[in-house]
Amino acid sequence: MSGSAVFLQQLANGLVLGFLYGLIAIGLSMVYGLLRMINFAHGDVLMVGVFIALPVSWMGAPFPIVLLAGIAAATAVGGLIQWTVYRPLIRSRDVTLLVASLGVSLLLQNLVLMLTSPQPKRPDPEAFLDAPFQIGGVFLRNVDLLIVALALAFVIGTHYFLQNTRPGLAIRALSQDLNAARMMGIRVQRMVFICFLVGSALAGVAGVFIGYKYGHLTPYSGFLPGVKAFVAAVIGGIGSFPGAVVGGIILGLLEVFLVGYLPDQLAQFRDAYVFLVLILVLLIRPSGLFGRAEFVKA
Amino acid sequence: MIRVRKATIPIALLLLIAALWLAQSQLNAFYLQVLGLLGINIMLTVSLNLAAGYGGMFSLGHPAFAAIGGYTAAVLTYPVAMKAFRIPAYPEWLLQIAVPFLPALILGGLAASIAAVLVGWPVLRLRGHYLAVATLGLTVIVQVSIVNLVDYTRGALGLSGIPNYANLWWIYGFVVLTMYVVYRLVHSRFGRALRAVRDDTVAAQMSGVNVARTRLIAFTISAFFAGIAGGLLGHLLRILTPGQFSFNAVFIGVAMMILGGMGSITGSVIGALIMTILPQFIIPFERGGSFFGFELPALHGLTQIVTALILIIVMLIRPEGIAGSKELTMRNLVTRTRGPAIRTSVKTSGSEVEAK
Repeated sequence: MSGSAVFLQQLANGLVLGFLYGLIAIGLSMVYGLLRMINFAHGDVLMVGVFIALPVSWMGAPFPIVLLAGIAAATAVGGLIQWTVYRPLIRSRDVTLLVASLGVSLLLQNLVLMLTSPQPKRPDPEAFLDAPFQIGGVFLRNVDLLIVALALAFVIGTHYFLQNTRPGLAIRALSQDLNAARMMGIRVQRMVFICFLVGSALAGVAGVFIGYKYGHLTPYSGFLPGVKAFVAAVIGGIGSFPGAVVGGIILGLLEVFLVGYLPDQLAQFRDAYVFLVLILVLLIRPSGLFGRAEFVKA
Repeated sequence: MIRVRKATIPIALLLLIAALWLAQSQLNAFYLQVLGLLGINIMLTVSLNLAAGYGGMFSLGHPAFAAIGGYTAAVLTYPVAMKAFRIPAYPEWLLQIAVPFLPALILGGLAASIAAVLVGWPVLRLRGHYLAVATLGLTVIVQVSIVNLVDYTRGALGLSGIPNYANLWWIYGFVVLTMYVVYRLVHSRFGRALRAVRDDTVAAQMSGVNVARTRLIAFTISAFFAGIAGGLLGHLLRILTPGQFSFNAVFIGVAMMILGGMGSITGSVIGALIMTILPQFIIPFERGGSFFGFELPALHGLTQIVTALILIIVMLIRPEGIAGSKELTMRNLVTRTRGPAIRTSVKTSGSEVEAK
């Protein structure tokens, strides 16, 4: 392969990974914008979504049904967690919410571990999704194309929801000033709940695609993508909707290019680079690309 | 009453020494190891509490600091005869020396402090809980590095054959030292500044506190003790593996701290005690088998589920933990009957949903 072909291939791979990060980051960013809460359980909601969608796939259901099952499961789990754990804590200190989300994350991982088995799993392969195709020297599978197309569709859908509906308006108002919005009569708890539903649904989409693209699902597969997606949200500017998507794409590209172009010994440190990037971003531009600055002056 | 207080600490120390002497001479190796782990967990929790409880810096990187301290100390004390073929990548002069235990521990602690400065300096200036994610990132970075730097750490195999230096005297000596230093620190001028920063950054700044510097110093000291705890761990178990410093260690560390109470040394001891002893009773159930006449399958991850439920339930029912921010002292015991002791900052579930 020539140099430019390798470059284009990496670009395509990075974009695909980036859209997955973006889908996960939207939920994290929205929740942080409202509650100043880092939801460590977000990635695990994704994982539970896939693990419920897996048996659907093994029963021979076609891809769209599996996707719907994953979305429904993730949405239900995300909503359930918000209702039972986060909802009563909405007025507590933000560290309380953070610890609670750590607890939920650990609980989800190990409940799934206990109820299934530690062996990695994958959905039944779909001939259509695995079919390869080629554009100008770049080899991809249909699943990659579908990830980009559906991710774009869902991003545009969420954007429409936030900009053009009453609940969307309420959520934007809340993230600007929670107390002022509350005084205007916005139902805070209900809007936070909706936020969790939307974020979890998008995570469910990402989860099912991760299952089809990478296979190899374990109860721990969700946690690290969840934390990395938070890094993506920080890159884009936490609390910003376009920031989450753009940050996701940037992070995906960075990760793929670093691994692709570094020598083999250094490429193994893949996960470490993501967090080095985070520390660099916090050092240079902590408000991210589209965010507002939150400083303590030194 | 003054007399009572003055006598308390020597008496407590004497009791501890007697108990340690008894334990060291009577107990078998298994119980000695559990007691050793308890001491190390107390150190880790007290040091995490200095950062998170007193300083409001919620760190998820303490396992990373312990790993850095642990591996540094272990490499320094490692027998020269085994260094050359087990961990050959170090420079020649380092392969030729085996450092005594105490300097090795302290160098380990210093290495952890350096890591804390590198992460803390960019992140501690920021509001919000970026530190949690950045330090969780540090845990990932250290984990990945240990696994991949096989010639330095023996990778996933684990660095085995570390000399067995850490007995109960060493461990509890450092436990007492950690508790003393942290107690004196948080009840000093510096500690008041630190708690002021935690409670109201802007007000602290107005009163002339250098916010970023205060936080960074506390964070670095906290990492130092976590590093020493890691060094003790390696020389107690005689092996260090990356698995000891994984996400799981993060969760357990947080559970120990919040269960006991953020901002209380007494609470740290209680939390560490519960989270060290409890798993010993749960582990048999994870393997499955017959209990009290019931046939149970192997319940993988039961310890973690219990840890998780502790985290969630404590947050829902008593977010300040068992001890809150109170300490068990002679003065508090004596004055209990005459009304409340000097009130430290009691910070419970006040509404603090940030309005930005």
